[in-house]
Amino acid sequence: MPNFNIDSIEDRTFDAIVIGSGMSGGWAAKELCDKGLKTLVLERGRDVKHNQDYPTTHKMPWEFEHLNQIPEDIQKANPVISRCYAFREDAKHFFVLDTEHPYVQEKPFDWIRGYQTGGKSLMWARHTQRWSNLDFEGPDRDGFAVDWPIRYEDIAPWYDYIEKFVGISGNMDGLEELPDGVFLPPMEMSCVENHFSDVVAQKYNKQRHVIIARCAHITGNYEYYAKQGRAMCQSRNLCQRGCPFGGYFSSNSSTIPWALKTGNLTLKNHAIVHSIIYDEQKQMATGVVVIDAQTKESIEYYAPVIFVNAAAFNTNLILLNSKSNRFPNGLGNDNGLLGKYVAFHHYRARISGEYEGFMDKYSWGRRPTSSYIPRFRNLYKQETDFLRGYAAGFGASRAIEMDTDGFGAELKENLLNPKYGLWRVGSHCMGETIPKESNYVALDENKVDEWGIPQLKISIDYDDNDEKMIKDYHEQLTEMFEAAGFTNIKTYDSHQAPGLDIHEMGGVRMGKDPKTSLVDKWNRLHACQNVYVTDGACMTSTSTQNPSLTYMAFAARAVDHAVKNSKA
Amino acid sequence: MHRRALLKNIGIVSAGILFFPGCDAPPEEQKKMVAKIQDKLQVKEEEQALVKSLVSTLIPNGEIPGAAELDVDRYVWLMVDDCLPKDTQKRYMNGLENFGAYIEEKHLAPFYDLGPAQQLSCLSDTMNQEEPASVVIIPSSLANTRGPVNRPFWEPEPLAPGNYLGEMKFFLNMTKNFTTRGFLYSEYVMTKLMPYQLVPGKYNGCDTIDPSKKINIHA
Repeated sequence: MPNFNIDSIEDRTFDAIVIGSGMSGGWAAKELCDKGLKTLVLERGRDVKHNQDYPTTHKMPWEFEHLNQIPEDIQKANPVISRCYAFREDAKHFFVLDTEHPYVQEKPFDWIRGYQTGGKSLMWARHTQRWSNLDFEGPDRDGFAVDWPIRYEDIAPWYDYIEKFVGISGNMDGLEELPDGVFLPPMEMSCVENHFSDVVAQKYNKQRHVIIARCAHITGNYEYYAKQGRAMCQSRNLCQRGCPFGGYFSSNSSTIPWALKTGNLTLKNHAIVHSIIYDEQKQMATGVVVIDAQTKESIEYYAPVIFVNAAAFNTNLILLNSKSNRFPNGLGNDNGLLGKYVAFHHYRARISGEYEGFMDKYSWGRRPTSSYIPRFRNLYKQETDFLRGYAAGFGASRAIEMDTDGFGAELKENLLNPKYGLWRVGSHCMGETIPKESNYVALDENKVDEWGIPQLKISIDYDDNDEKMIKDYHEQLTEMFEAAGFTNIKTYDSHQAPGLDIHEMGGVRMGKDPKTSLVDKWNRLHACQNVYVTDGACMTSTSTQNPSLTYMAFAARAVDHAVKNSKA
Repeated sequence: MHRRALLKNIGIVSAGILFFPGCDAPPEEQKKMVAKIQDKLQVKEEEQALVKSLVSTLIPNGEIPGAAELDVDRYVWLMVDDCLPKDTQKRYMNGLENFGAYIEEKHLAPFYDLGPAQQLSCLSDTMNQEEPASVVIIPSSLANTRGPVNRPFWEPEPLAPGNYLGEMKFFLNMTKNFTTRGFLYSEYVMTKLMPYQLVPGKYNGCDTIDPSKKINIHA
């Protein structure tokens, strides 16, 4: 008697499986489908179709009844996600609630997640920078982690490839520490940002730079992006809602629809990957065990190639949970390092100031990016009392002030007739952290989630290097601010827990030696070479760059390798 | 009774009986609003009337509609109900009660029955009284700022116990805070006076100020 609920093994066998439909998973899917492989993408959350499933994207500000504030009972029940800058009334439906997906904080760590088609590519800040050899050489030169098995030359063509399709706006700045790319026209810097840039270039003899940020927004070449069904960025700065124009890059607007068009993509939602199946005789992975998020039923899917793109820590979790006789400590984990040497970007330090110049000028509009200060510390040699360094965002806008002192007609008049104040300037620090064995993620021994999968235990802390770097950031930016004539300079250290950078990485690090790393130069698990890891989990060091661009490049490059390798 | 004690503390000579006006039947909309808020916060009709008239006093009607005409009191109650932590909510409601009682005591009529000029002077009188003031930060920029902590935009400092004047000022300042925000972000202001463009199309980083033009905070 046929059971129509259970597909045959044949129906559940594909040419490739991709775990996760986010930033890097979407790219793996697109590349695999473009190359003709029948690809199954397993997404643990619900579907979010471009445009159709952006419920708030057309709302005016007053249509949010709390004017974008999150109600107190939600904040109280979900303190972790409530600390995320983008968790507001207009985008909260794309973020994971603490109550829905608990995890174990051995030390305080704010783990920010998005479980739906597109993952965090829906809500990301769209900042993109290339790595250079000054970054790849970091661990080897400075004696931490392990040597990257690749250099810039290996990934440069893939940066080209990704940037073209994604649509990256930026200026050709000619900096060795931040390679130029395939750029659409840059966004505009404000007068005071330009002023700051000039002062900094002059004072530091062109050794430090303030540039317009490179960002994943379409600012030109309209006809090319129209083929993806995407249009030019309209400067709404409401990206976290999902963009009806497809003006910024997300899986939802770009790679997933493209993959669907090939006819080779099967996207399954509510599909939580429990573990990867390892066949001891074939000595390779053969598929995945999936738990239906809604029915809790277990089902298996099979493929000769598996891409794990579940997001850095979720990828660690899946591999740790993929136990077999061959791999009792998790898939590929012969050396016991799986889950270890995780790291992040420290985001505690800020600085603000004012400027009494350009008083006849003002800035207006909602630019969806900012200016950017590439790392300038320890670039060519070790120079400070801390290793590595920090990049920083920078922005300057004309303040508007209103006198709110009075009541009645006077107050009303003042509110409707504000005046221009000074220019306000601000910067926040994005610091490289050193991966170490004592920072790790692991399966919790006791707690399981709703689907019987062990909860992730996170044990990550700041170290002395971070503290020294934060001190240096405050000192250096103060000096730079003073040189530019900024006043009322204030420095801040939020002392927040790690995690709100949303750049957690590592645990399945790349390396040349299987004794000290988990994946090879092609992102394959050393010990199970038909499994590829191309999301944040593969990162050997963090450098200072916003990492998504690099994850996408790894994914495309690894798919290319996987497909060529299988034909060999 | 609690109210008599607190009035003594403010230093008002208690002149007579507290006078409660008869409750008129509220209009249908008010009934509905009270019903909604009574999901969590128990709001009496005269408390609702007080806040509505306070909101109207703060930003009165004129050629341009005032805050009450734009239903900003609804936003005030929604924020008090949904977004204030319990302790802050308690302080707000205490302050509301204290203020209501204080005005009734002083003027022998509830706040919402006084004339506009008198209502205004009630506000400034209360706000100008000396005491260790509670701190309510009225943000100079009403824009949401990116930051690691998604706190509400105030952090009241602790009040000494029995500081009823402090609670009243807190209530007045908080209401003013929400009223100004609700007014500036109302549909009327954001379409007719300071238009907000959902699709601006561009950003300008260095435009020359035209002094003859009004500033649009939503541009």
